[in-house]
Amino acid sequence: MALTLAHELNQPLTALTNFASAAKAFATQGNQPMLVSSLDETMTQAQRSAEIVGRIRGFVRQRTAGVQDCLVAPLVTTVLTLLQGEMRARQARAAVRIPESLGSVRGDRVLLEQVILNLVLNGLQAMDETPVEGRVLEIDAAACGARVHIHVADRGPGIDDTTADQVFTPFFTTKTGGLGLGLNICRTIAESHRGNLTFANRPGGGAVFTLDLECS
Amino acid sequence: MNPELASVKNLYVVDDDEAVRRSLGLLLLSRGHAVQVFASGEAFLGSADVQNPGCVILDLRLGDMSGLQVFDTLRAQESPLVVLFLSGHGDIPVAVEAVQKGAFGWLEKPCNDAHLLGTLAKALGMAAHIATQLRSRQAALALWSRLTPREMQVARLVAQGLPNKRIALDLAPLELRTVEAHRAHVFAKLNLSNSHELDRFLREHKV
Repeated sequence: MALTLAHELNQPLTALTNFASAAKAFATQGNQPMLVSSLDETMTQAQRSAEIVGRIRGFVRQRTAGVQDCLVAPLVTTVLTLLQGEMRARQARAAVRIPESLGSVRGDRVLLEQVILNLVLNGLQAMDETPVEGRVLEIDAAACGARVHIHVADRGPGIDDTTADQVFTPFFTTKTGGLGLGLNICRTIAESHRGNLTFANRPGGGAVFTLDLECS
Repeated sequence: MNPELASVKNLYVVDDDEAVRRSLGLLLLSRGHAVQVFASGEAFLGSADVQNPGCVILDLRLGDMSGLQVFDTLRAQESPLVVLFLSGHGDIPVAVEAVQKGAFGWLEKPCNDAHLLGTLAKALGMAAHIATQLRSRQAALALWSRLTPREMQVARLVAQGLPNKRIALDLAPLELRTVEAHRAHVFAKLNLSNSHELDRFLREHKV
């Protein structure tokens, strides 16, 4: 999902960047009519980008109409299977602790997997500078009253105060080549499941993301 | 703009996204470049002047014919065009492969204008260099074509540093005096003064 989105969004963002650059040049040259038309084009492309993001949100909402009971352990297993190669390449491993007695959550399986996949991938990427023996991603889940909390915890650098304010801001990213939409979409998915996505720094270093969902 | 770069008249943009295509056209126009845009590889190959030096900014992901296929076609036709690829986030490995096959470089979408214009200036510089080389080769070939077949034969042996006597033997029956006359004609027609220059001329222009 994230990759198609990246490709689709790249086009209006490219056009927007180019039109803005043309506008800058026309402004310096005092070419008023071309400046105005370039700025109009810029706005059209910004609008087009917004529509693409809106369509993704619409897609998320539509899917949540068809919710089912999902056990947490299989969701995590699917994600880890998908990311096997990635983990090997990054010389990291996962430690999973999910009690067998844990009940299921209500939700769309594909979307919930997408959220967990994003969190796991972020966690792995965050540990690129961590010494190899410390590259352990901890995934655990626990019931908390009528809710289930799924934690994805890494041993990366953690999240500093300035970054913390913008973690969920669309198009904010700390990765080179990143689009800055992953966590924003994850939170939209969590919220459309009447859940929540939060994060904190861990004692001993690293960050932990908590996906809070309701039990079925 | 650098006058040498302005001398490169053929600048093309090929992208199937209407907005990307138009925006790139406008951006280049705002910096004084005249540019022709195409929506597909087929349209580009069909009407662009691919046998003359210039530069093409080519999207990797086009509709029916991929940017890489267009690039391969250009190479098969021995086009002197300098190729700059436009590539999305996930396509960098493909772009790298294209550069290994002789493309000039690539620009990642979206690309900031300073980087885009900087890379384009280098590509146009390369195109201008290729144009100069082609012109000098064409001029050399024009001079060469003024030689008679016999003079061409003699010229090749003179370039190897052979003395007239030896050439007369090699091309026998041929009189020494005739070889001397041919040698003088070759130097006069090609505007050269010695066998070293002649050797370099033949190598440089692959005559």
